[in-house]
Amino acid sequence: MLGMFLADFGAEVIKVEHPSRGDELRNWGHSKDGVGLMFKMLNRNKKTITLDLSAPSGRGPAHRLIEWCDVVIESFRPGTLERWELDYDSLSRDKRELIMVRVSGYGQNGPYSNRAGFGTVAEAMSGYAHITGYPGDAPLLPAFGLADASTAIFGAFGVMLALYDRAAGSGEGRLIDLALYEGLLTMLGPQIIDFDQLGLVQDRLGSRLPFVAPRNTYRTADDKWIAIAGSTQSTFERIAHALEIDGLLNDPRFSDNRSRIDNAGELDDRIQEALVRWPREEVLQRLASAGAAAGPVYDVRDILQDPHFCSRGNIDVVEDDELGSVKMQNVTPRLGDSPGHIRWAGPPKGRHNREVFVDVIGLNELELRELMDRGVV
Amino acid sequence: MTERALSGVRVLDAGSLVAAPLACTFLAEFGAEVIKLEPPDGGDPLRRWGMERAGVGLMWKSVGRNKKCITLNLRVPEGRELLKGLVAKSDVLVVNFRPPTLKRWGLTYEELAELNPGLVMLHMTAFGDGGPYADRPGFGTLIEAMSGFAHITGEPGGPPTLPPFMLADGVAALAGAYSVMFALYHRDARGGSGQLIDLAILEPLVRLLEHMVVEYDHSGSVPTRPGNRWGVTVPRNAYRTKDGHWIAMSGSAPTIALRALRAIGRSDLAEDPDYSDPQKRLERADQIDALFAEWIAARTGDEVLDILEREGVAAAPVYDVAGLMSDLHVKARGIFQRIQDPEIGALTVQAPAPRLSGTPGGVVHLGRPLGADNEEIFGNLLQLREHTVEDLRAQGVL
Repeated sequence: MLGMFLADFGAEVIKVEHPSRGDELRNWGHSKDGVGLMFKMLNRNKKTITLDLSAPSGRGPAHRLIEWCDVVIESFRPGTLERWELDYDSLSRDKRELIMVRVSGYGQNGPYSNRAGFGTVAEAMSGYAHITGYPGDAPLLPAFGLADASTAIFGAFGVMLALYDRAAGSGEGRLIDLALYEGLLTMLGPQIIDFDQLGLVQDRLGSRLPFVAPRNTYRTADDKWIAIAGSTQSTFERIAHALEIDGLLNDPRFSDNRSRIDNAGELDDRIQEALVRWPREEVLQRLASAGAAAGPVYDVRDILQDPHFCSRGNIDVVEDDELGSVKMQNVTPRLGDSPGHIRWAGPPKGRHNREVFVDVIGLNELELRELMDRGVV
Repeated sequence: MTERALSGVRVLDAGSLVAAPLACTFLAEFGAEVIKLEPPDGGDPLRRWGMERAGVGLMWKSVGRNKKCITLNLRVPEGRELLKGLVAKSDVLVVNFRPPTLKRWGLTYEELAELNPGLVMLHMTAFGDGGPYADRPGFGTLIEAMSGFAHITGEPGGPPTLPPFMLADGVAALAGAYSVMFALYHRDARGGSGQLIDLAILEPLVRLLEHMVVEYDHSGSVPTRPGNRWGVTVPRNAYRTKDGHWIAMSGSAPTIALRALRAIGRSDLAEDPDYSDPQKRLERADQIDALFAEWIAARTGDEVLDILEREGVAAAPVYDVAGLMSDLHVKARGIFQRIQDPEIGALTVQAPAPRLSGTPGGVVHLGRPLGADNEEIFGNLLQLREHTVEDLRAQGVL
């Protein structure tokens, strides 16, 4: 995913897969006509080649590829690249401008660094799962790859810092060491400082937040859901007017944010009672004309139909020779002068073998054929 | 002094609350000189969010790290002129005003780029500059609802669930930070000009819900709330142990899923093609999930983690903040830093991520009081001669 963010903005990203197994992501989630859909999305704009890095005869081509690259991204278990002599120290000896990103479950050092780690593990250990879900229920994991995604974005930021530093000053490469739980931990906000200073431990609150009320999802008359956040006093007052909730504003239990947090359960009940009087569209109209921030809880169909998403071009249609046309999220953020774009969706395994091994690193056809016959490519 | 990747890069942080200022925090951690502009009356509302100690907002302390703090009233023409003076001397401007406000104040990118053609401007708003909702107010909560996140979070049959922390803002801040790096690289390494980055807080979160759109497009399936399961892989859940702890595990990689089956004494299933193939395993998700739940419920947390670790299966305890901060590995990695603060003494905060070998990030100081750096910025950087900082403060401009 880190590679995808760079490819979105024009980097030539070459995805290296094992010749027989390929990237395991090809088998994840739903497939259509035997083609993994998630793979299509995450590998857009990349070139795909196959190479067995564990085979001694794969090292030569690997070294030649790396000589010619700016950035290497890897996620093997710590120690694996060292065994193959493809670690940062070995590689940067001959190429001091090399930038390398090492993504792992627990990072390159520390007592757990050799353990297997995935996003789920990171979501549990970072404190995310403990605060997600309802009081009394099980801790809740995210329904998508949150730890992986946040690691990928932090990684993209790290690569750009290193590229910038190299181009604008030092001329040297950097090693970037990223553990899967560290990005998420940074996003988890004030928990650390609150615990450190006040001894507070955040527990599961459903959709509530510990620092603002009201904030929840509520059901409307047509059995749809909306989300409301009364992040400021004026927003709260507008919500009470727009929903015609009698007496709410004179009730001392709800007079300011702190008292609303203490009485969040009763406050949510009052708001919920009011909301069952109108269907979702009408509720949203009322709140919008009162200047109160509220939003519908969308599923994927709603997203594809929403006029704002359509107008911003948030969903793009990409032509693909395996699947025909594919819809996927467009590139974000938008840059004025050097915008990103989607050139193609995730290609089949080994699609760019000839282009990369012959045209770029200069193997001849015979050498490539031989490596392919031996299963190295 | 440690070398920093962004030494010499000056960033004006004119944003408020979380998404835009947090993007600037990430830049400040890697050495950019970030100057935070706040309205003189009360400053950024983030100063009053969440928990306080000794009257000082704790969240502000962490998000405000490494920034210089100045006050500037952009509602008065003198304030906007001073901002233009600062823009002329800066590399990056970060704002989160709604598009009509920027136009009214004469602070659009076109106007500012005339003063500084190399300017990189990051404009973060809930819905972006353009499209029918562009002028609407928005908070992270609405984005979490509209992006599809809330719809797929929670127990089957239960209500859609919002995240218990600032997810949409956090993800947008990261996207903002790397997009500023794209633009600086384009300008300084490639000889390009400055540019405007239009970042809707809505879009990076939608971007992360990768599987939803392609899968709906091709199979018509609308994902609903799966509880702890995830439709792309099994086993994957949080399971309760005999002693009441929770353990999360995931068989995301096929090799790990097979090791997991062997670890719970079901080598027979690991050999059975109906269970060893990832797609076929998904069809038997309920049955496999129940096998793991039962095995884990019969053992204590320590036993389960020992066995799974020995067998090379990815599993972890579900930590609360106290568990996290006392973890051996977390301590060894130095993920938290203890920082001395002149207002409230020593505080523990998250250290910068990611780690760069030659130019690491660092926490130099935590959030400072409102206007703490007015003298340095207006006096030394802008070299105001006609008015003193004190005069301007008295006039309500600073």
